[in-house]
Amino acid sequence: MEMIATLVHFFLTMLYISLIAFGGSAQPLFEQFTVLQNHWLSQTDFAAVLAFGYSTPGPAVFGTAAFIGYRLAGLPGAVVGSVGIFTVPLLASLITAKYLTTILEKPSAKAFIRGVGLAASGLLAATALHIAGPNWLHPANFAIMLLAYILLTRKLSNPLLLLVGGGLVTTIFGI
Amino acid sequence: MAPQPNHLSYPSFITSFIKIGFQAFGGSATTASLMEQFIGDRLSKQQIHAAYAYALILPGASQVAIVSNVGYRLKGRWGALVATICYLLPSLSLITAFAVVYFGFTGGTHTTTHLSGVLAALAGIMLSNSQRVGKSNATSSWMWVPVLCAFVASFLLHINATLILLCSGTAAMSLYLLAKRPHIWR
Repeated sequence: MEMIATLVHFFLTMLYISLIAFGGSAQPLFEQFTVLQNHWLSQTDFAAVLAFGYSTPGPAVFGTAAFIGYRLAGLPGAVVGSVGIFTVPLLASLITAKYLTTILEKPSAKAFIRGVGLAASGLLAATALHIAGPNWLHPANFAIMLLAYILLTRKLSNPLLLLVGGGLVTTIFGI
Repeated sequence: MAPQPNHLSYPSFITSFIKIGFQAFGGSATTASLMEQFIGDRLSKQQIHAAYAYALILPGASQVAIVSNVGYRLKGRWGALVATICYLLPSLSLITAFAVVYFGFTGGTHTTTHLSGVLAALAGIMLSNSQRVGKSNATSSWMWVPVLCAFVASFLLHINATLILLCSGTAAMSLYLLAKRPHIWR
């Protein structure tokens, strides 16, 4: 019974995150609800979730939701997380598309969405430094972070290669 | 003349979206370009671009909104559902396999603590995404001020993320309504 209650809570949380996740703000919201508020994951597990999310095709938020769901309740949890995170965009696209488009194309709504997007940018940077942990200023870690940032910004690499490369460097050199 | 969407059989439809799902690394732009590659002969480039632009203003994962929109254009409501499931199936399978290995065989938390390079690379990836999101929204240099405020509020003051997002959105909308200078936000 407790597991069902947790899954319902998790499902509603995923719905809520996807409902308010405009402009790339999903990851800070995941951290807020799954790590800080509900303690479904540790900060380290959350970092692993994001790494796996970036290493798989499809939306990173979908992978994140499935992974957290698996952590909570195995395969049923992964399915519940997946369904929770894709229901809102699917329904928005199918049923209320016309209505939503009319509202979201109003200048005041565009201003709201832009404001959310600006804050999302700052929140993503903060989440990135949370993920890197207290040792992010260690020279080796800082160099890897900077290199990953430059290579991705200049579109010279992809996330999967960068994650594998970062892991290999620290494993081989024992950093 | 735009291609007739209803000529795509369900087996080809399902196969196409599973293939797209397997290759969709790197966000909604990649998904849109894969759609041009796999179903470009069934929908015009303009229709796919319209689905892409439309998905960006909807809440949630924009890739899901693009896929469901294109699925809807090709096969109606059931097409939207089937396309979304097929698109997400590869991701769900891979992430579940990762989760089984991570939690089942490594005991979870130990893996990443030994791989600080993965976390550092992940932080670099997220910082790059942060800059991309910021650049797509900040049309003037002063608009980086709310970005910095959100960063400080979260990283140093530990304020709730939802509150920061809602405050920023409300402040932007209020500024627009008060100033009546719509060109700032265009």
